[in-house]
Amino acid sequence: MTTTDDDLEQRLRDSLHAVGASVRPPDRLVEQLYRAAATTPKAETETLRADVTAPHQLSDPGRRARDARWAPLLAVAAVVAILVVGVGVVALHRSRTTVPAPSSYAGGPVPWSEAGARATTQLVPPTTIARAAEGTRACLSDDFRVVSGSSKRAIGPSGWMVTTYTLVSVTSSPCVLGYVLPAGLVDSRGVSLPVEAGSHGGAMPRFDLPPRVDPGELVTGTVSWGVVQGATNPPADVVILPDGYSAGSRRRPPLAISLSGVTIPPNPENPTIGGGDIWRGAALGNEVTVSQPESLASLISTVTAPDSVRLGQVLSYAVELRNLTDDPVSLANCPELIEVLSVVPQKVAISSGRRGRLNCAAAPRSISPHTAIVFQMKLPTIGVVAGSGSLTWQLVTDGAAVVNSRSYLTVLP
Amino acid sequence: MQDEEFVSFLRDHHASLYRTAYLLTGTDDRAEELLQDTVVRLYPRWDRVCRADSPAAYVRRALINAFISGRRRPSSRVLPLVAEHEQVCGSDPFAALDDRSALWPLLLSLPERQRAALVLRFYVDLPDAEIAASLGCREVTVRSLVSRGLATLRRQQAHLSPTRDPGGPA
Repeated sequence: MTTTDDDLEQRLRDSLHAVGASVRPPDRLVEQLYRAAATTPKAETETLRADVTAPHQLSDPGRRARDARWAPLLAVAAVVAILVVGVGVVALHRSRTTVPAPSSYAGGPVPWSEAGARATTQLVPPTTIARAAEGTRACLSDDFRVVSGSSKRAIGPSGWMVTTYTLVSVTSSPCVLGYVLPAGLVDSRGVSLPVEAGSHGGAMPRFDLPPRVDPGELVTGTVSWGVVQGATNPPADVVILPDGYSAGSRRRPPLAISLSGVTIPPNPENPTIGGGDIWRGAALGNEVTVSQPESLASLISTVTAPDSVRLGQVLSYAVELRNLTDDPVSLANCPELIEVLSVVPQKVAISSGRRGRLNCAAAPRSISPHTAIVFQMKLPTIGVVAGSGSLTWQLVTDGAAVVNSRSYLTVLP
Repeated sequence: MQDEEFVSFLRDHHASLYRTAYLLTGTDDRAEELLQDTVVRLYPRWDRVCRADSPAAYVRRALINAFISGRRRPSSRVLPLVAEHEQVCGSDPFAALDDRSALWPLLLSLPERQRAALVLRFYVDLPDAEIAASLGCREVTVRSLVSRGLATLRRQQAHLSPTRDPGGPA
């Protein structure tokens, strides 16, 4: 047996890619690099810059200079680390929703691939929710367990807050959620806080169809809140399906999602006095899907995009697909995706987008249970105008969006 | 604005640059240091990076230059082949040679320019012309670096595992 040149080259190629795939950059590396670059004295970087393009003319800066540059960085890093750990400990201590975070895919972010992408501005509707059979009982909070849930600020005219959640049915019989999905706010003592009617209609949004949930299925929802500060106790939890819960009972509702760490904006109408003597909340929008484990629809997506992008530049962002269930989700059929950036200068949205597929050549064939994969995405901003807008990202199966995420951003002139 | 572009670039490319740095240097600490040195030096003239045909290729070229330059410094540490190999592969280097990942530790013993040429050829998948631009040499020099690097790897394999001698019978 002999080892040919081709064999050695292929083995070397395999070896490098195997090692490369196992390497994971340190957490917060981008922040660290930026901090290092921004805090290094300009004179020092200019002294050293010649060796970037002309290594043969390098002047050795010396160990002392290197150490001197690292010292303030290490100090900053130490302070940041202490703050991060401190905040993390406090957040953990205060957290009332104990959901383990999924681990990241060891291969790192999946790079963007433009292969097969074509222009579109059309989003597709979400998966149709099945109508409940006659006589199906109504779902109760005890029928579910919180798989994940979080709230965050969103860019909006009155400082909206968005709550996303995933519940799993832990009951043994089907149930129906009803036309209205109740959700509310409670303070740290368990007292219900008032939720007012929003400008978009009633106090709570209505489903077009009453969705039925079979045992083991997942309910994923998003509620956009118009919540502003008031003079009374701040909200501590968002409560989904607060049935059987009496205000002030001091019993924590079973489907409570902590608001720890969420900054509630001041009342835009009068920031100095808050919203009067109450906290004001209004559920402005609601999107709910019901999905089966192992299906694409069971994935939770999060779009991480910059706050702004300059018109004409390529918008670079990332989409994290999380599998919070106990079952793997296959990507073997390489799902289709749609990304659309929309700006509404007046009444009509001006959009630009693309329809393509995930970069499956660089991604694993499935997303393991309790694992997340980050896909790097790119979208040109040609075709839109400057202004406040939103970026919508969908994963599409059979003409319907089974995964749907949105992020708000500003297109700068 | 420059800071936004700088951070945006890092978000997009830090992972691939870090992996390349790791394959060149062999440890997390040195990969981090190499990448940080590179971007710190490029930051004051980031506008020039942005104007390049391929900013990512520009930064990677700077990374390679910083690696080669840095390795020439007196403080550079020579990686002992056996120690690295044992560290990665365990106590049985002959058995480990059956594992494809075992070739990488051998790569770490090569001179910097040979190592860089092999990483750019077989990991980054660059053509000779771009490798030559990255290393600041001619294409014929790239082919020579790759050839000598592969020859060294072949000899080291033969040294560790006589039964896999490429030039002799099995």
